[in-house]
This record gives sequence, structure tokens and C-alpha cells, in this order.
Amino acid sequence: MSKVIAFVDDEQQILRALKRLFFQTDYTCLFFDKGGDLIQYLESNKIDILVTDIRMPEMDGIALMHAVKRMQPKVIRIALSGYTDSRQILAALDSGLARLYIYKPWDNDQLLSKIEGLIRMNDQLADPSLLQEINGLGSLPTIPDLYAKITDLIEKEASAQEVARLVDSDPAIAGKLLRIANTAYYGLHTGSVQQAIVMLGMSNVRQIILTNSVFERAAYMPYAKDLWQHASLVNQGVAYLYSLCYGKSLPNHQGTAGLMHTLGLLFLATVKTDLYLELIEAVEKELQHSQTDNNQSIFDALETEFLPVRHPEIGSFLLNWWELPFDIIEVAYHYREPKPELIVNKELVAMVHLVSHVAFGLLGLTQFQYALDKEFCDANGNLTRHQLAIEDYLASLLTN
Amino acid sequence: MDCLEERFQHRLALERIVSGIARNFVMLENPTDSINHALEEIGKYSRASRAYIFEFQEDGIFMNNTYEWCREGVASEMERLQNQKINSFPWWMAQIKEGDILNIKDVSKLGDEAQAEREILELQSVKSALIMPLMQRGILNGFVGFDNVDATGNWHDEDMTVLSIAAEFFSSVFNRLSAEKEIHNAKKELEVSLESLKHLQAQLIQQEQLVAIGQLAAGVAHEINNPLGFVMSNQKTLQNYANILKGYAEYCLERNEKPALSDSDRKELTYIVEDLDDVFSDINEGLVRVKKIIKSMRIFSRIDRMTDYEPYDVKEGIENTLVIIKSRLSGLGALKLNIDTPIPMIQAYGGKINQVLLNLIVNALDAIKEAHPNSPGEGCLEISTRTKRDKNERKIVEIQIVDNGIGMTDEVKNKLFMPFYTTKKIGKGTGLGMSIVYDIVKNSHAGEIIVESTEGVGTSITVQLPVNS
Repeated sequence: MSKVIAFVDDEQQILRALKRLFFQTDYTCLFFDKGGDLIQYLESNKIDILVTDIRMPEMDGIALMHAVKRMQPKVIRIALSGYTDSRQILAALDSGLARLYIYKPWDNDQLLSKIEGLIRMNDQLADPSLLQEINGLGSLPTIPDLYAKITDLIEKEASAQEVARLVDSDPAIAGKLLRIANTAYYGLHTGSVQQAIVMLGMSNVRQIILTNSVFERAAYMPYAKDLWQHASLVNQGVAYLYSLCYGKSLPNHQGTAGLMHTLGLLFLATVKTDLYLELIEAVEKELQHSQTDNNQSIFDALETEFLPVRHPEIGSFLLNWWELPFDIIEVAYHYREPKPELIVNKELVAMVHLVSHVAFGLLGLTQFQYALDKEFCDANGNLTRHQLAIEDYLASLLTN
Repeated sequence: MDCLEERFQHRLALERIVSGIARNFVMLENPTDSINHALEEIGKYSRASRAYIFEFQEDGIFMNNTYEWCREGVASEMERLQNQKINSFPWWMAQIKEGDILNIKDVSKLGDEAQAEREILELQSVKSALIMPLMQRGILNGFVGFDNVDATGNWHDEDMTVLSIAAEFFSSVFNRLSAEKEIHNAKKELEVSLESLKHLQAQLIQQEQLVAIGQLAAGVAHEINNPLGFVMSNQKTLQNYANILKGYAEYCLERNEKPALSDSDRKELTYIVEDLDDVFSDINEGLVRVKKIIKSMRIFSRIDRMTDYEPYDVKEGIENTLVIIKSRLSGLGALKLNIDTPIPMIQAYGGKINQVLLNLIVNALDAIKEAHPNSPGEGCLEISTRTKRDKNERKIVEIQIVDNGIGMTDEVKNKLFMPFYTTKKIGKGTGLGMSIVYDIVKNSHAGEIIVESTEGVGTSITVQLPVNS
């Protein structure tokens, strides 16, 4: 059964161009020039994917995505727009309203591969057997009330002040937020929740709060502190590398990619502590036997033996379940052994792949290390030439 | 008898001197001369060797000798008497700080409490001295002094009254000098402030223009990105089609026969053949659209149009503005253009008129959006032009913009052209737009602007521009 994609744009010529592009594919494509028409269609039909423009008369793309999310929450929502008002766009991405945002004019091949990548990842993570396995491991962390309230505020375009007030109402979370913010984001030294919100952006703050439950439960697990330090370093390192490569700062909605990419490991540590410890022990034993220069990912090999599902899948499952931006989910899934043909945002994955590897090395966490794919790094941003700079940078963060 | 007579003449002379000084001080044409003259008069009268004035510095720690008169043959001390510490002479200051005159009849008789003072005076061979305090607002600010190296006890107690009047005159002169200095400084500060305000004003106006251009650019970017989007996509698609057709053509050329077609091949080929014309026409339309909007942008924003006063086509101006904001017009229920042709060209700063049109039309659209946030189809914008004569019989062109937006209350109407007055949310309006419109219409073009509005119903803004300057 082929997937159904609904395209919505008030310009017939855009719809025609898209129709031509998707003609040769296996998707069933529907075309609407009014959001209202699609809503009507959805009353007795289902779709799998929505690709919509933002600036439309009568019902704009944002309103349409909200409506579709309400009616059929499993639909993958993608925005395709020439609209350059970044605030609205980023808000849509941040809040998970749009999983992907593609600018007009687009490249035909890229558009196809991005949509395909998104669908593929979504299918993998929506696989019921995966859910079963993860459920079998342990109960999923609950979503804090605070998170829903903040989401609400963000959608109403509340000010940082209002959100700060809400966060401050829970001093435990406020405290944790500040601690996390100050260690995982370079240059942030603040005691003010409001300032943290302004500097990190509301979406990142929201994600920190959302995932905090996992971090919290894992806090006393063995290696948790190391893994936490590793994640903070990688978060800062990725921001640094991004600015080195592209001369500007990391887009907000990718800001927690480094922080979240090993979430699966921490989750594992809390729900299957024994297995987790056994696995690490086994890796350490294996490391002693093999040559020290051998950079093979022993952890990955053994993880498959010990567990029905590996931590990158677990991590990306959780992040997907929480509807974090797609880029972050991809990173969590692919950071160890990136397969380019499966990845949409190769540049970001490559950056995290490199920085995480360097960070594991720097912290002496050889148990968790994996082999660096230099080819992949160089093909997507020419990254290995920055490796030394990253090492120095992360080292300097450690000494501070 | 003689003694009394003498003392009386002595007193008269002093009074004459003091009133002479007073007259001089009142006129104060040349303060330095007047002060020096006063020192000399009193100095000579009292047979002083040196007369001097010390002024305290603002820090209240140091004082400087600022004026001096020396008897013939007496050396000047003024130059080395700078930056003296006030609290080196505590007794001295204590005597005069309430405004009393200090009459040191005999230096040698000064007690232990005036140790420092006695030392200094004896060092200079001063036998007696008279000190008058300079007061400003009840606080000691300096003093006038007369030193005598020849004799002691020159001043009689009954002279003190006249001398205190003289002291007050001295004080008032210095107060007046300091007041004048303050006024001068204040004037300088005001001049600086005025300059920076002018700068600020220019900056704000420029910023307002940039904000307008920014808003413009966002809309225009969207307007260009859409046609560019489908043109580029179609071009790629066309490449695909071409490859497929090439395949068939090459097959035919090689084999000199028609290829066998499967069902899916047939389906594909049919689709391509049927679609080909549409692809080309879509591409063409898209490129024409891009060309049009760029042309309008160019016309709209020609920098020279801002400073050149030349013939301006009102109809073209309105049309260009509408092209630029096309994306905001989508969904609008009705857009009526009543352009009374032919409209004469008017003499104007074209760029500025464009700015006026943009401001007014955008405001109208905003008002409509506020009144009909969920049903843009009810919005109605009407733009009319006509030629007529105004009340002074000048030939004018009238541009009227009518909307059925939220309208204005009387309060808003009255404040409409006030700089920084805005009814829009923070960040959504600088509040300068209408004041700039006003300035451009009334000041730059000697035109008129008429506002009619009813709350909840709509607004009509009429701009009248003279055809000739």
C-alpha cells in the first residue's frame, strides 16, 4: 500500500511542478489549492504525509498543520515555503508542528530524498515491534506537566518573561535547567531562568525540561556523570564546529543535538541497569584483549548481542515520541555508524559523529567509543581538518 | 576735634571708594579690570603692600590665588600661590566661614591656634591683614585679602560695616561670574544635545525607511521565491523528460524503427507529450512574473528618486506599489482602482511619494486585517485618483485610499501624525510612518492630507498634491 502525500499550495503552478516531480514515484499524491479543501477531505479519508505552503489566503499553513495534527496526529507534516519570516518558521519547527521545513526554490532531488528520509525514519521508529521491545525494557518516562504548559505558552508566542515565570514556579526544574544550560552551552553563565530562555531559545529550554526526567533518573547510575559530561561537551563542540565551518551560529532547532544524542544510553542505564553494567564490563574485558590501536566499535558489536534493541534506536525512538525536531532524531539514530544513503541532514550527523568521537577519546571513555568515518566527515562539510581545533577546544572547556 | 574730623574724612573716603567699586561692579563690562581696580583702590587706601583674591576649587580641597594687586616695589606672589591646601589654614577659614570679616590687627599677637597662619604671614613680613570672605549661597568660596608689611592696626572697627558691604559686592561679582559661566556651559550642552537630537532624528527616519524596506523585502522575497520555485523544478523535470524522449529518439535513429512500448512506457510517454506544452508555458509565466516584480522594485526604490524633484506618474506609482505588496493582497475581498485618466504628471520627489503610497496602503491593509482577522474576503480596499482645483485654485491631483478596516477613534485621529504614536503591538510599528507621510506631503510638497474615519467602519485618507511646485 503506497503512502498518501497531500500537497497544499494556493499557486496552481507550484502544484503542477510538484505533480510532475512525484509522477515517477510510488506515492499516491493529492493536490489541494485550499487548506479548507484538505480538511474536508480528511473527514473521511486518511493521508500519511502533508506538504504545505505557509502563506496562503483564508487558511495559512500554520493553521492547516494545527488542524491536521488535531485530526490525524500521525501525519508527517512538512512545510514548503518561500516565506522568509524566520520567526514563524522556526517556531513551527521548534514546537514540532512541522517536522521539516524546505525553502522555495527547492532542488527536485533533494526534496525527494528529504521526504523519503523522513518517511523511512518515521516508519522505522513507528514499527510496533520496536515499541514492544522498548516497552519490554522499561516504562517510558512520563512527560512533565510543565512541558505541556510551556508548549502552550510558546504556541501563543508568549514572552521569555512569561515562560520564565512558569519555569520558576518549579524551583527544582528551574535549578536543573540552569545547571544544564550553564554546562552544556558555551559562554552561558547565568543565574536567571529568563536569561537562559532568551539565550537558548524557548524550544531548547522545553526540550531540556522534557528530557530531564531521563537525565534525572540516570543521575546516580555508573558512568552517568561521564556520559553527561560527554553530552555537554559535544553540545558545545558542535556549536563551535558549526561556526567554524559555516561562519554562523547553529540554528536554534538543532541546538540540543549534542545534548540528546546519547539519550538512549542513559535511558538504558535507568531501565536495565544490570544489563547495562554487564555490557560495559564485557566491552572493557574485550578492550583489554584486543590491541589498543584497534578502534573498532566493540561497544556496538556487543550491544547487539546483549540487547534486543540498541541505544541509538532507543534514543531516537524517545526523541521521536516526544516530537523533537527531526534533525535531532536523525543524529541520535545515526551518530555512530552513519550511512549516507539513509540520512537527510548529513552535515549535522557528520558534525556530531566527529565531535562525539573526539569527546569520548578526550574523556577516556573508550568503552563507549566507535570508529570514526573520515570519508563521511569529509564528504559532508570537509570536517576532519578541524579535528585538532575541536580537540583543543573541548580540552579547554574541560580545564575551565 | 581733629581726631574726629580725621576719622570722619577717612570714613567718607572709604565710602566713596566702596560706592565707586559698587558702581563698577554693577556695570561689570570688564570683570577682570573691575576686580583688579577694586583691589587697587582699597589696597592704596589702606596702604596695603599686596591685595589678593583666593578662589576655592570645586573639590573644596585646594584654592588658587586668582587676582592680585601689588604696591610699587612689592613682588608678585600669585604664580606660586596655586593649589594651596585649604585645610592648611583652619583657623583662618574658621574666622571667615560664617561671612565675617577677619581683621588681623597684629600678626605677632596671633595665638597658638593660628600657628600655621602666623608662620606664613611672618614669612612674608606681614604685620597686619584684612580678610573679606567670598560667599556663594551661604558657603565660603574664597576670600579677598589685604596685607600690610608696614604697620599694624590700620583698620578701625567702625570701618567694618562699610567693609562688609564691600565684601558682599565682591561676593556678588564672583557669584555673577560663576552664574554666567554656568549659563554658558548650559548653552554649550544644549547645543550639543540639539546636534545629537538632530542626528537621532535622521537616524530614526532612516531606520523607519529600512524597516519599511525590510518588510517590503520579506514580501518580495516570497513573491520571487514562488515563481522561482516552480521554474527551477520544472526545468529539472524538463531535463528528465528530455532524457526520456532522447532515449526514444536515439533508439529510432539507431534502429530506424519505432520502439516497442510496454503499458507503463506508454503511460509515461503519453503523460510527457501531454504535459510538455504546459511545462514551457509555466516556466515562461514564472520568469515573466519574476521580471515584473524586479522591475517594480527597481522603479520603486531608485535612490535618485528620493532627492530629485521631477515629473512623477501617480498611476504608475500606485501600480508599482501594488505589485510590491502583491502577497499581502491575496485573499482580499475586493480591490477597486478608480484611476481617473489621464492624470497629469506632478512635480515631486518620486521616491518619497512612493513611500507615502506604501505607508498608506499597508496601513489600510493592516486595518482591514484587524477588522476581519478570520475572513479576509470581507476586506475591501479602494484607491481612487482625480484631478481638481483646491481652494486656492491650484491644480492638484488627489489620491484617496479607502478601507473598511477597524477605523479610528477621535483620539487616534488626533494623534495620527504624532511621531512615535502607534496603535500597533510592540515590534510591529515604529510609529513614525504617518509623521513621515505628513512631513513628505505637507513640507516637501506643499500638499494636503485629509483624514476621515469612523470606528468600526473604516477609514479614508486623501492626499492632495499640487501638479506644479
